Amino acid sequence: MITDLNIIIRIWITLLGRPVNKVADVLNKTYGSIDEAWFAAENDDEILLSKDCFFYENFIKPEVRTESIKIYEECINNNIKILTHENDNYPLNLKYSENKPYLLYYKGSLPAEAGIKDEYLLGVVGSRRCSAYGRVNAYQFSKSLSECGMGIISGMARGIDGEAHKGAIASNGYTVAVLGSGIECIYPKEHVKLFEQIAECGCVISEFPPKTPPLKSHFPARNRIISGMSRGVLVVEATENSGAMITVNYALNEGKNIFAIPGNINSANSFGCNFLIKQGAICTTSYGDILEEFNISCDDPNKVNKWILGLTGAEAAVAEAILEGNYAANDISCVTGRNMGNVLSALTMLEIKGIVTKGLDGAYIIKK
Amino acid sequence: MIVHVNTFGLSGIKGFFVDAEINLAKGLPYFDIIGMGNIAVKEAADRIKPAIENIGYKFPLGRITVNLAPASIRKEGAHFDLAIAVGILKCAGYIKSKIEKYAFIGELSLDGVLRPVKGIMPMIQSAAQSGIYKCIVPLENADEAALVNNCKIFPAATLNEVLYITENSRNPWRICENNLHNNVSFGDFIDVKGQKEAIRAAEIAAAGGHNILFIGAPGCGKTMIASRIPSIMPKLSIEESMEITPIYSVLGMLGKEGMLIRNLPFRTVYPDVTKAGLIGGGNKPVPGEISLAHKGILFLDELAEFDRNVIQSLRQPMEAGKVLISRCGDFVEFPSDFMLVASTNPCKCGKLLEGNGRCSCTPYQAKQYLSKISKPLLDRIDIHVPVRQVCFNSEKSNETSSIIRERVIAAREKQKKRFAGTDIHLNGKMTGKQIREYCHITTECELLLKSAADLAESSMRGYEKFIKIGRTIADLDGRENINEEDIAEALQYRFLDSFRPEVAV
Ligand SMILES: [Zn+2]
Repeated sequence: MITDLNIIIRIWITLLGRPVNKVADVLNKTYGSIDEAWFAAENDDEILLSKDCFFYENFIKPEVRTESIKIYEECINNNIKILTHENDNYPLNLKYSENKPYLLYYKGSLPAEAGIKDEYLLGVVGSRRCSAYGRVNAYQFSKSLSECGMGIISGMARGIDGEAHKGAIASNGYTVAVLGSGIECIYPKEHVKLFEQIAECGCVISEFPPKTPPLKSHFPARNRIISGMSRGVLVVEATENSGAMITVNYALNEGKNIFAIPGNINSANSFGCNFLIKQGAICTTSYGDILEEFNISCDDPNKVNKWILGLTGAEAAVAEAILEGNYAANDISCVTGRNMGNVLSALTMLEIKGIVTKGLDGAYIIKK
Repeated sequence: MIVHVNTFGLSGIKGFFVDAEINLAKGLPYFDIIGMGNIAVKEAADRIKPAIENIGYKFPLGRITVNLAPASIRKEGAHFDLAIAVGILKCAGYIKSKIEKYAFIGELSLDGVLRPVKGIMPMIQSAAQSGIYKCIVPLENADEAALVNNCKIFPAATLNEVLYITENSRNPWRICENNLHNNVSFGDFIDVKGQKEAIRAAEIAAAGGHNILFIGAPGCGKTMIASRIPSIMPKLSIEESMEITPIYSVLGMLGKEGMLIRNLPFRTVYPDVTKAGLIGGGNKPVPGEISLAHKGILFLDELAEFDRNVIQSLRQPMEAGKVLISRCGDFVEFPSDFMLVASTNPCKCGKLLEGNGRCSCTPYQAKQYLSKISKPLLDRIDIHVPVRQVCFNSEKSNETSSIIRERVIAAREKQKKRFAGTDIHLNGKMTGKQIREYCHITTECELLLKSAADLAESSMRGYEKFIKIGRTIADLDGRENINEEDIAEALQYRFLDSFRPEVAV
């Protein structure tokens, strides 16, 4: 039975130093249990811990103890739940990952609580600055995969992350956002609404106490949780040095499947994916590729092109041109040989019929 | 003894008749000029006396009073010199023949040489209107003065020559035919690679007189396309040229050649322009760029970089087609009926539309950039169109400008018929009421507009702009009814309505 005090003690452990698991090990060895350590630290006479220990300073500071109580109360007041690694609902994949988080703060429902099996969890990662191509793929892949019952895990950052969550939400699927900041410190600001939606139909998780600001150094740790929780990782679009590649590194070390969507060889945004494919990642051109690898069945993954029926000649020609990878009106006019007026009005109609969508850079992409 | 000499003054870009009255009376030597003249006018006395003496005449002794009537209108410039000098010479008896049929305009130098003046054309136009058909002007102004029909121009190089002309008959100056047809060719759209979307938008803008904004990276071809718009506009009529040329005349921009402005004006303005430079003004009010662009195109390069106050000052003239400039209680009016063409970067680094993450702006910078453009001005721009770098050369070549121009002219003819009896002649100038009156759209079109608004989560302000553009698209196609395709195409020309740069990065 874990009581309030047990949890406060575990919060206290995470505040002492990093890596947290090492701290816990040392205290277990020195005092027999971490609970004993807490009471010992309260009492100056019983300090057995060596003064050279890397967390000695924090260990004897009473402020750290008050801090952990404060954090606990804050969580209670703000409906933030706390999950320790001893809990049964602790995500299975994460439990067996190296350097698993000692304690997690979360809002919403964990995969186990939502009834999502751990082998149905997929990490979807990519650059914050992404092209329309990446944006739409992140959305569409996540949407289709969550329709088939998979849970989408991502980092709620701008760009690919955000689109991945939105795709899952659009199909009423399950999605987990792992934050690089505290839960009370939503970043980026424009994702406040998205945050609420994720907490509603999925789960928002953070390793950091609620008021922690989003520091750069937090993000690699965040990425390790994304990778840790997932059975595999889908890289939608990534530049050479993006954070997504860090997640991939964790995933590789843990022997997980890496899926990569190929991209334009001339685009810096595609470098990461194309590089990973060269290195042996699974070249992913349809969400069916992922289902197949995981042996998850879903009806007819290759349901492309059906919509071409029921369009006017101009609309169909324009749609086909976009499907071939022509994103701007000029190129479409050139490929189809149709005049610009024709192409532009077809584009509007396709957009209204929900077949194409205009990227925010004004380029067009097929929706389905 | 009183002598009257005809001459002309300049108010803004219009000439007005001035009766120079010269009175020579007995008394101590005295020379004064009255009648609301500025310093240049007052100083005339000091130029005229030596000029007369230096061409070999004795300056009359006595009290000389010059009155420039009507005394209620402010007068500026040194071009009254000649009329005053002629009047004094007449008083002194050096000129025998009658001079009432002549108008005299010109500035004198101390040695009696005639200097050219600015604004000769509007002054001669005014002379013709007041029934004075013989004008003596400085030699260098002869070609420009001769642009005015039904006025005989007698140019003179010196004051002596002026006296000769008044005493003997001489053939009037003959205008060089070339001066009436001076057409330089503009660039042609056939030289532009790709960019069909922007060229199509330019065609619609030219046909309906819609203001247009090009959005794209530096060097992607915005300026190249904008500068070719005159090549698809209808050519100026002679009447229009006669209306425009005086504006250039008063600024002395016609030069010695004095050619009629036959090219559609295309005025490029950069963000460093001052308010006076743009809309006109100054101590002696002169026309600004908006008036130089009258009947033509005003091109604002890098719209987002302009000073907000300068841009705000465009509103009233754009609405009225003219600008009123006040100075010491007087108003001067300049025409300013132009089509606005503008260009801008989409973001600070300019590469936002080039895709593939080439833009290096932070989301905040990207969002800030276009929001610097004044909203009221943006509301007056019907068409915004993205321009992207052309990356490969496989595109078919474009049509020649003259083919496009034929369609534009045909579309304008349709509009002229439609708006006969109203004060407008272009779709782009329609008011909300006129749109409802002249553009009937079907229920299907209305539905289309509604669904488009839903899709854009309706930041779309009103459907009117789309209907206006749709009207022009139908006119270009020679149709009276506006169909769904026209509206669907029109919806594409409002790029900024659905553009949220902060998310695009
Ligand atoms: Zn930029």
